[in-house]
Amino acid sequence: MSSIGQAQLADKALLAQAVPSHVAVSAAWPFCVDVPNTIIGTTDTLSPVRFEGSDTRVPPSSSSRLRLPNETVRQRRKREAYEERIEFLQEEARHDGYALNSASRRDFEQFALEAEDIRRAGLALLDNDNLRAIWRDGQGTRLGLQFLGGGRAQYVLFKRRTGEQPVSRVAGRDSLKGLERQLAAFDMGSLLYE
Amino acid sequence: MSGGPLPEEDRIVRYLSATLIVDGVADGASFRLRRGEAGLSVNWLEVLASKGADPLNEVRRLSRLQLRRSGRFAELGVGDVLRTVAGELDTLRIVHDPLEAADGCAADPSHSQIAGLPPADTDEAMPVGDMIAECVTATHPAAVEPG
Repeated sequence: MSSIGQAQLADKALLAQAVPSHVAVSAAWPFCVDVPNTIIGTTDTLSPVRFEGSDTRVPPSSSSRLRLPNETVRQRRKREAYEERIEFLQEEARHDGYALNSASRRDFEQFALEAEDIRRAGLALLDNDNLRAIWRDGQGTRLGLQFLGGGRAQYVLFKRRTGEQPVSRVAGRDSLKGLERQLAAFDMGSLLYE
Repeated sequence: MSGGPLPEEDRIVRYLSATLIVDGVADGASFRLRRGEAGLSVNWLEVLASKGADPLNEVRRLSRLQLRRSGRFAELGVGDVLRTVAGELDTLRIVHDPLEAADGCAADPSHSQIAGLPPADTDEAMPVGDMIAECVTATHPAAVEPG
């Protein structure tokens, strides 16, 4: 069904070194990394940010539920930009007959807003109600994170290494905490952080 | 699906909801299957151009979707898509699938499908969608103001 280039194989080996031994790395492209359910969504790995309410869908007019206690000007601007974008997405989704999963939104906000130096992402709202954040560098490197709720995300990494063809691609799902390992293994820091 | 593969030098368009357009660019989520789908609906421009009409206007006229002004049509080259994805997924095909007139809708001779995609909600679906999205050469308004 698929073929794997040498550059991608090299990355698979790198990924295999980077992930813990209990995580299975598939031989099939695109190296879908299967993290056992036992470590997915463990809330003890997440920062203690408090959210209000427990509904599963956010009404179109609602604003962000994440307001950090010591929010910086940069964080506030980012949060407000996201709020505006999410409001637009919710309005459009309503016309198409779907909504926003509040668990997905919570996870996105936690990931994208807590760290002050994380770059602003482009945001899509999928027809399965989940938010997807996208970071691109214009050189072929990109990161897409679909926030699944429950502290889990599906990731797609396209990495163009200097002077190397083709683009390496990896996809899988992991806990938000586990994502840090995947991103570090593929040296995505410059894409993600200012 | 009743037709054969589309010519590689021809172009197709796919309707994008505004929720899947990020900073003016099609997100790969637009090019993944949803549950219950066997293929992605697209429109073959050249088959409409051969009838002498503006193909995009014909797509708008014939579409059975509720086109919104905030939506766009993404234009892609058939060969581009096949070549881009072929190295990773050799099941992908773009085939003619004309629709007959039904339920008050006119026949749509341009309707085609991207088939052979990974099943919905699998981890393979999104990266393949992202690769197809990288083949988008232009986007066009889904609906135009009446002249």
